[in-house]
Amino acid sequence: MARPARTVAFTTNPLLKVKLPAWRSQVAVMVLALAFGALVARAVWLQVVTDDFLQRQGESRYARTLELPATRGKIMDRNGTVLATSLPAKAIWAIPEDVEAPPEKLAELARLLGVSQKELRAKLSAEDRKFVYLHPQVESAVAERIAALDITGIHQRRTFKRFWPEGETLAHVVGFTNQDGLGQEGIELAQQQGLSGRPGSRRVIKDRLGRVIEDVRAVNEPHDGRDLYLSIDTKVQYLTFNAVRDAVQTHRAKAAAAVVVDVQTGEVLALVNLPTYNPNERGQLTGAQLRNRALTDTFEPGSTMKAFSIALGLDSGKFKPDTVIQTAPGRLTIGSATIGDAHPHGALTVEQVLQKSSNVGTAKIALAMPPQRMWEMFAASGFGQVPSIGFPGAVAGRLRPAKSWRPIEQATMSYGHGISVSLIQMARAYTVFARDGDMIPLTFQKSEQTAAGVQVFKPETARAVRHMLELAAGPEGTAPQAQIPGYRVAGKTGTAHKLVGGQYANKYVASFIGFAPASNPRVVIAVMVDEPSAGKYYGGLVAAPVFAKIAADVMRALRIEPDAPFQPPVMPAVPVQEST
Amino acid sequence: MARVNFLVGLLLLVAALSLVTSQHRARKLFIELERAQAASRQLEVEWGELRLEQSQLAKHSLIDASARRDLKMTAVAPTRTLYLSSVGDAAAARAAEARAAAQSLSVAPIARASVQLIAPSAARETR
Repeated sequence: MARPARTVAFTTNPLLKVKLPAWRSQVAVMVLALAFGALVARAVWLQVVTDDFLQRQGESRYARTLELPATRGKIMDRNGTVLATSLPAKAIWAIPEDVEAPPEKLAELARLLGVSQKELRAKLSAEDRKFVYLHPQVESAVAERIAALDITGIHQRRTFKRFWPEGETLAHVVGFTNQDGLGQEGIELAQQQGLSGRPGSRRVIKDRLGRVIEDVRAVNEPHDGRDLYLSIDTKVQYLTFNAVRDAVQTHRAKAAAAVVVDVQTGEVLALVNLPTYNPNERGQLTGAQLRNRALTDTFEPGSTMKAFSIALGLDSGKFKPDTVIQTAPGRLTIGSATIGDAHPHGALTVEQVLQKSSNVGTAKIALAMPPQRMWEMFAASGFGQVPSIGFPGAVAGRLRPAKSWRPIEQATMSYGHGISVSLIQMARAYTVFARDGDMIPLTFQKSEQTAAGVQVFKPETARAVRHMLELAAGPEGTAPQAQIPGYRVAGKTGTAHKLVGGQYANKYVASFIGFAPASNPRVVIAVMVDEPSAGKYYGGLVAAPVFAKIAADVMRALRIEPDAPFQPPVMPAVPVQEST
Repeated sequence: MARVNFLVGLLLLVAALSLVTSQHRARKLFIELERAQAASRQLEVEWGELRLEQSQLAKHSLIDASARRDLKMTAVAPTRTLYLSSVGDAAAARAAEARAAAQSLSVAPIARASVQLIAPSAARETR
């Protein structure tokens, strides 16, 4: 079978002979050129004009920004005992819509979070909310077990939990922080700036397994908060706390406070307030618990103020310790008002005026002084002024300008009425007598060097008053119960009516401010008991024993050498009655 | 000319490969560094935990309670304490002598002794 001659040579292909219009090829070339142009334009658009969008998209596939959290500084006492510290913890949160888990897993979660199952379910069924905190801070170990449950919709976030190991003993000094780590009270608030750190961040590249393999740019280093050393001595604090707590129970007092101050450096070794609270469990806090009475509450000091009026008299040179002042008949009428002693004493020397705590004697000394001079002395002693101790809420107390004083007011002020002070002001003011007439600033931070004081009284005046205060705390004084074996103590009682709505009520504040050892004072101890209601209310009976207990313990704790021969302290059969 | 090209190409290949390996090694070392830093952070956290625990266990209230209740201890009274002070402490020695003089007691010069007993002299020496 012969093959038909179908084969046509390419060159002779008749199709080639077909003439196409020239514009067709031109159109094709044009279309292709336009397509290329479009591609180039698109490439330029993506890679030159809007390149950062793609860069970002690419980076988000492998680059991550890591938060570098900064730890809040620790607070320590003068010996390095931790008073407040932050440890890593996890905040547990949930997206309620996403949570899907068998009931037994939820039960386990509730158990780990320490809430009831009902409570947990109520939180998770809040459909209208996209985000629920289940627990602000759980410890790392618990968080790991929660993570191991692997419930969808339950997430964790890194955070810190702060601990206050000393608890209620030091609650008022150290204070506490809120959940965001901001200081709310005490040193935590006062030193917020220094304690809080600055978190840093770093940009890194992660590999397929999630490991960091490279820093993209320089690391923004986190800065941890500064650690803080307080002047507080936890041992002294504990001993003081114990003594004050016992007193509150014994005398059924509404509140009480005590301050222990180092005479050489002005450091506050202990500051106790009752009632108190546990900063680690702040479920229901009342204002009374939170109040730092030693700093924020003022009271009329009563007789503790007499030491200053008498020191002023001695300083002026008008009185000597043995100048005799007639206090009989135990009353003194100034203008239309009369002041009096609880018991008439007759003629007393200046020394005995303080020892027996005579209102009339003190008023007579004070009235011999110009009011302006007396006001200057009060102001120099820190009364009526906010103490600069770097603590939130410290108050100034009330000291009216001398121009507005009437003679009766000057007289009552000389024995501590018509003037109000805080306990810490009183403790600070008594450093004048514990030192040689100069007053030092108090501090809550550890300081090594001895503080420089401002002279308020002449050194010999301070020494004379120190001796009188020792007599006042002696067997013939108003506070024989302030005595402790082995040490000489000095101090003054105070018993003041409380002002309720501008009227003196039948409520009292018993106080005792003193120092020990009297031969070379090392600590000033101020005690205040608010509304003792178990019968006794005199400073000598309520506050002085607290002082004695604190002083004895502190002398031992600070290993101070005894300065008195050992004899059983002499108690008078009938205690000297003090004036209120 | 072709030989030079070949050599340069080879060099390029070697350089490229060594770049890849050194990059890989750098990343491995970096991961190791990261791990070490994480461990250091972890240790720091643990140290913090231990310090907290120490504070909690060494609370004076706990020590005091167990000393009084479990060990039946009592606080030291100054009457039962001998106070020592070093020889160099001239002020203390003078104070002791002054005190003894005030109590009309004789105090033997004890300057050569390495330590001296002071303070509870009245109670002890009169007994």
